[in-house]
Amino acid sequence: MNEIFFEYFPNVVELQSDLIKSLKETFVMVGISGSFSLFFGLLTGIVLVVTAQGGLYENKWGNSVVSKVINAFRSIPFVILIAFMVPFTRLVAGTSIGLRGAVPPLVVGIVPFISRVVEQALYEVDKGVIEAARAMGISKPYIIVHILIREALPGIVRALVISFISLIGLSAMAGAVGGGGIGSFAIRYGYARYMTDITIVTVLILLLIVNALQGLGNIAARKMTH
Amino acid sequence: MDGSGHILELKNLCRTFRMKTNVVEALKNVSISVDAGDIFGIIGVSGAGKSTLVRSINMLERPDSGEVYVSGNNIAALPERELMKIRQKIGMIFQQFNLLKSKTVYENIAFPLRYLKKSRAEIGRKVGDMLEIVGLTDKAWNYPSQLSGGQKQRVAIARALVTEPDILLSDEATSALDPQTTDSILSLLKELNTRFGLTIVLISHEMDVVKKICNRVAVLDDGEVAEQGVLWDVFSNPVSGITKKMVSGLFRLDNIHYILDNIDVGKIIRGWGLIVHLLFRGEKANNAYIAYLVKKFDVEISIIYGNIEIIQSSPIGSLFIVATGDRAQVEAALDYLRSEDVRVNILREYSNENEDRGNFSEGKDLI
Ligand SMILES: Nc1ncnc2c1ncn2[C@@H]1O[C@H](COP(=O)(O)OP(=O)(O)OP(=O)(O)O)[C@@H](O)[C@H]1O
Ligand SMILES: [Mg+2]
Repeated sequence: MNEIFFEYFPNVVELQSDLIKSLKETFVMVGISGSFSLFFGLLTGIVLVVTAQGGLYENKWGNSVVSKVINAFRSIPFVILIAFMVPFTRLVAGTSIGLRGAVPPLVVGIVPFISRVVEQALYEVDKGVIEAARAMGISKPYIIVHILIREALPGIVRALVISFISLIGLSAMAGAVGGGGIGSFAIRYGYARYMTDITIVTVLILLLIVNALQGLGNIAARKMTH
Repeated sequence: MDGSGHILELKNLCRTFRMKTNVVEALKNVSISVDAGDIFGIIGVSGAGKSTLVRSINMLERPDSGEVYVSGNNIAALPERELMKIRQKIGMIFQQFNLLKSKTVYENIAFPLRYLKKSRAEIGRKVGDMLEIVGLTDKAWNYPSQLSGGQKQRVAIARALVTEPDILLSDEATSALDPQTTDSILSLLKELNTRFGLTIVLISHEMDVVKKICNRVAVLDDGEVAEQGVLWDVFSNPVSGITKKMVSGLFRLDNIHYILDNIDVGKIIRGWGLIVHLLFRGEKANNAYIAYLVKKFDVEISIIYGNIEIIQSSPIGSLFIVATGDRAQVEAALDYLRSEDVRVNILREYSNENEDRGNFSEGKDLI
């Protein structure tokens, strides 16, 4: 078994520890930027929905500003965003390279996307249910937490799975530019040194991760749907 | 403080919706008063402003002008924070039930109590009581998706009443249900009304629904109150065009068109006669007027079509007749009916010289 593996994937066996280190870096990158993105993405998603027309805190002007800013960031290709953000990244992360340097562009790159998918999920919540809660004399913040978010939870979970999968993709790109993670590993060896086996194994690993994430997400969402 | 002792009084409510292309006056000077223990019906066609009206009662929709008195206090000018307290004393149910999909029946009913931070014991007891009242004790741990429409509405009713409000607002609560289920929900509302003295404001576009349980009614037409009063009075003596139309519908008077188009009135009349619609009210509906008229006056009466409706356990009879004979005798017979408080509506005069058979009710209200 080992011999066959060695025969077909010689570089992978040789660079085993490097591969594992890169994977860890990817997890750290995605974990840290994911946490920040989750917070800001949910927040802006909720802001978009409650300030929309007929929303709990209807605010035409505020809604339009947030919406335009999100669209602006969504229209910038990620590699350009990384370059564009260098001064800001240095300011908040202290460096623009390595793992630390990858986090700010990842957050800024994925938050607009999360906002929109979360917004979509929240829109699915029946307006009538919110109206009923208002008629009961329930406060708006309580409605947001206990009805809006709670009722949209299966949709939000599905939205977040998609977002995290995109984030893994972006993290590979950020890593390739700034150094670190599975993306940079694949570029360094698979692409730059023509080690095709490295590329194949990297792809297989990513495939595995993405599928596991999607599967877990589906199970969780199904458990929450009645 | 005002409201003259009514549990609910709306005074001169106006609400106009302004959109880019048009302006809708949804409420025009609407005034309505509801007494404690009433089941007050608000009836009107789609777009008449019923929902806008009922949503002004708990200020989900703020009127442009006018006052809303709940137990004597004008709430129209209250800030949101204080309105929340008022709303907790006014339950509301909807056509689409509006239950929380992610929560069980039990948790749906417990929801307003959890918000009010009631103790576990109190929540358990109150939810248990409500489940029993609406007959869903065995469904406590089901999710709304596992219930029928009628059961969902029962959950909604339990949820609306678990905080023991004095008033229940019902916006087309039975409109998504089949006739049998509608009846069972209406009986439940009636039971809650008699057992707990719950005041109900019931919105519907269906005469049948209002007829079954309301004691008082307001007819809303294009944002205005066309008529209001005791249900029986309004339905047995409709004054406005819209109410007449509704009562016509109730008595299925549209059938008369079909009947008159398909019988040869000329054959019955031979000479001169009148086609008349009669509305007998209350005990009068039981009297044998026709036999009496034929005996007492020298007239011939043929009954074309008739039926009877029971409203607030008092009958209203509707009868289409053809009266022929001596003109003076027929007039005298009709005068006698009028003196007996029967509503007499001459729909058409008929004579053989006048062979006009144009559309029978053209330009004429049936009632
Ligand atoms: N938020 C709104 N914006 C603009 N117009 C509105 C709004 N709400 C109601 N209207 C208009 O006001 C009028 C009355 O509407 P309302 O919903 O009160 O009618 P309704 O009697 O409840 O009708 P239905 O039986 O169809 O529910 C309609 O012409 C409607 O289009
Ligand atoms: Mg309506």
